[in-house]
Amino acid sequence: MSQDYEQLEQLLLHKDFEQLSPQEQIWVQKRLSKAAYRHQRHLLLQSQQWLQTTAPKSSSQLAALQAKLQQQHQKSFVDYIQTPIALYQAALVAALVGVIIWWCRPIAIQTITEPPQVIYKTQIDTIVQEKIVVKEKIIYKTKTISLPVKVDTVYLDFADQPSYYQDKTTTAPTKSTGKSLKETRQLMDFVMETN
Amino acid sequence: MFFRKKYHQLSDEKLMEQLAKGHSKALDELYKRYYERLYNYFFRMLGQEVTKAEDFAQDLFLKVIEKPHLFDTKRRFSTWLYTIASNMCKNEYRRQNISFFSLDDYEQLSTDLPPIPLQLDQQIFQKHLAQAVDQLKPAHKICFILRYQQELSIQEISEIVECPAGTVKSRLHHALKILSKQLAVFNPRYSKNKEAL
Repeated sequence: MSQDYEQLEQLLLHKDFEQLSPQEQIWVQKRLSKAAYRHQRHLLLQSQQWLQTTAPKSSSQLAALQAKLQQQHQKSFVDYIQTPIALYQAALVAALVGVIIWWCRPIAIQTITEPPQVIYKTQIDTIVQEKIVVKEKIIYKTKTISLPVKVDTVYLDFADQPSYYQDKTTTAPTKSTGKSLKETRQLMDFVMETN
Repeated sequence: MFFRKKYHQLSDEKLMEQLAKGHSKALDELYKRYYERLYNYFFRMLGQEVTKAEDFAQDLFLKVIEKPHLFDTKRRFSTWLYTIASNMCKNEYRRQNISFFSLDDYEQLSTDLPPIPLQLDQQIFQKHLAQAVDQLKPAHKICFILRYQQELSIQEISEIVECPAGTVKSRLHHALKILSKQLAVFNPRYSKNKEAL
C-alpha cells in the first residue's frame, strides 16, 4: 500500500471518486472504501490549503545576520595578505608597482670630465669707417602729347560684303596721298620742342 | 575585483561558497530565497508560534553563517538546510518532552462522538486539523509538512530525513491515516464509515 502511495496521492489530490475511471475506481477500492477515499481527499486538500496559508509576517532578521557575518569575517592583516588573487590581477599589480618605482627613482648626477681646450679669443684690430658719398642723379622730365593722325586708309565697302567663292586679299592702294616724315619736319620739331 | 557578480543568477551552492568567504550579498540572496520558506516551516512545525518560528529561522541562518564549512558542496543546499531545520525541530520536541499520538491511540477513541458535518465552519475544521498535525509523531509530521507545505519530492524528503523513499511513502500514508482517524468526526458518515476508515 505504501509503495502505491504516490499514485494514490495523485488521485486523491486531483480527482473526486466520481471522476475516477472504472479501472481507477477498482484500483482505489482495493485499498480504500469509497467513503474513506472521499474523506481522505477532503482531508488532504484541506491540509494542503492550510499548510500553504502564509504564516503571519515576521520581522526581518537580515540586519542582525549581516552583522554576525561581518563579525565572523573581520579580516586581520594576515588574512588580507593570504587572500588568493587571480593571475592577471597579480600581473597588473606588479606592473603598477614597477611604473611607480620607475617614476620615483632618484635622479643620477653624471659628471663628465673633458680634456682642456685651447680657446682662441678674437681682438678688434680693424676699424671700419663709414663715408657718405653724395651722388647726383639727373631725372629728365618728359611730356607725351597725343595728336590726331590723318587717316590714310580708304574704306572699301565691298570688303565688308560676304564673299561666297573666294577670299580676296584687300590691300591699300599703292598711291598714298599722305605726307612723308620729311614733310612733317615741322611737326617733329614741335613734338621735340627743339625750337 | 573588477566585475560585479550577479548573485541572483548564482546557484544556492555557489552562493554558499561566497557566503563562506564572507560575502554579505550572498547572504542577502540566500535569505531572500529561503528565509520565508523556513519561517513557514518552523511556524507549522512548532505549534504556530510566530516568535518561536522567527527565532528558529534566525538560529538556522546563524548556524549557516558560523559553520559554512559543514556544507558539502556535492549535496543540494536546500536539502542540507531542511535537514538542519528538521533536526532543530526534533531537538525542540525532545527538549519539551512532547507526547505524540500513534495510530493505536486512535483505536481507543470513543465512538460515541456525534458526527460533525463537513460543511461546518472551515475555521473549526482547520483548528482541529492544526491540532491533529501538531500531534503527529515528529518523523511523520516532518514528512507530511515537507510534502504538502514545502512541496518537496519524495526523493528530496528521503535525503532530508536520511531514510529510503519507501519509508517516506510509508510515513506519509501513516500520517494521512492518523489524521483521517482523528478528524473522522468531521465526516458526515462518521458512524457508518468508521470501520472503513
